[in-house]
Amino acid sequence: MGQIVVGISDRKISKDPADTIITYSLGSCLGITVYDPVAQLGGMMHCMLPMAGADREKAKANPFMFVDTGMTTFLQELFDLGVTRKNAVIKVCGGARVLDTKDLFRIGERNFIIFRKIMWKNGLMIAAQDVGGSGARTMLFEIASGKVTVKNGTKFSELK
Amino acid sequence: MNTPLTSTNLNRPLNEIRRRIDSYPAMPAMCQHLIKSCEDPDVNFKKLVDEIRYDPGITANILKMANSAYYGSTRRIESLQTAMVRLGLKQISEMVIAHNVADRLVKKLQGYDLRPEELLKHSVWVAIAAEDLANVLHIKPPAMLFTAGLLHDLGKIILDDYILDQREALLKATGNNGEDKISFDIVEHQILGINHSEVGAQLLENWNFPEELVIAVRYHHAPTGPDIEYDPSAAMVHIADMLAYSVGIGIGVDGLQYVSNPDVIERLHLKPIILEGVASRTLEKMEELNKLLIG
Repeated sequence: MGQIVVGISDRKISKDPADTIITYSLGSCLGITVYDPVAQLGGMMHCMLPMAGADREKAKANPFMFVDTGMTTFLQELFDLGVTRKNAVIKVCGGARVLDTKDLFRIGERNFIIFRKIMWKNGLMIAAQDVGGSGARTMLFEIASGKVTVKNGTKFSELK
Repeated sequence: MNTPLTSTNLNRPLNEIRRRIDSYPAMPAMCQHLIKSCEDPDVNFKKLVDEIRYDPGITANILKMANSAYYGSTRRIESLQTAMVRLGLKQISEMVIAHNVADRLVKKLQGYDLRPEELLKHSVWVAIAAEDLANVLHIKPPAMLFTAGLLHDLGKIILDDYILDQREALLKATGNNGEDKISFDIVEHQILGINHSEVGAQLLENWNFPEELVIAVRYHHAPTGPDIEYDPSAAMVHIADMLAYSVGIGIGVDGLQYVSNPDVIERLHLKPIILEGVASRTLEKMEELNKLLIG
């Protein structure tokens, strides 16, 4: 009970209404929350890179490093705990990028493309999103209500 | 609120910043001694071991490193000499500097909005990623590359108070949306008259650190330009730094507002997949080394 911090390449799931799950310093990484108001549980994941193909060994040791392996593992865990496709409320933020004229650092954009692909494949909808730009984001998720707040730079706003 | 910056009110913080640079505590003499020893092909190893033995703090740190999983230790090493042979002079010198600088980088930076440990993690990331990048590109890593990565943002420690004072002006100058954003280091220079790269370089100059390090730190946001043709250390540190901002290691009030250098990207034939490989390998190593340095 309390504040649960999700590190980079990690995810946390909670059923305790007193919990708030938080992840700091999302750059091009994606912060993804899944909330099921009926099963009354939720989880947050923080993925760094789009595809496990970049490093198969690392993906095996930690699937949450990558959006593709992370998202499929995370969804499976949540479905096992009783989350349903119908009730899942999925929100996403991050995917920012540095100021780059050569399009080399498009990790954020690629992360979001892969995320959308997996959502579509699973017949899931994005309930709310705050992606792109060049700000550092912090994502907060209250298990009791499913409310998601994003701090971008110094500004807070609800993601809905 | 937003008083225009005339030369008088710009000079006031700048003079104060310069005084702070000059009074900032230097690295222990042993750090410089080790750097010099690394460059000396005729170094007397036995004598160096005896000199280090007089410093119980450094001795303990070297033994801790030699016995850590980070260096792939499998059997316990008890003697300083064995530890030094095992790690080698280059790594000994890197680690002694890392331990010293860790205490300075670990603190929270209120102006830059960095939580405790964030600047240290960022610095460790850049050190590891810069070396990994050189390896993956089959470029012989410049001798001081790791240390250059570790020290590249030292200037932020000095500038932090002034960033806090000028936060409104900084945020206004960087702009919150649109494509016309300016790199944060340029905004620092506009508002404070100096940026964190230059502050860091001046600190290293004051400490008589090798020119290779000073150049890498000074030009890590502008590794090519009117003052510098191309410096491999500055270039590797630059890309490792941009990658750290990308993946969110050590991002604060500056966000991801730094400009990548197109010349370096072209020259090194960089591709997204190369950078993603570097990022995936660096993350875990960074956590391990960070733990070792603050533990």
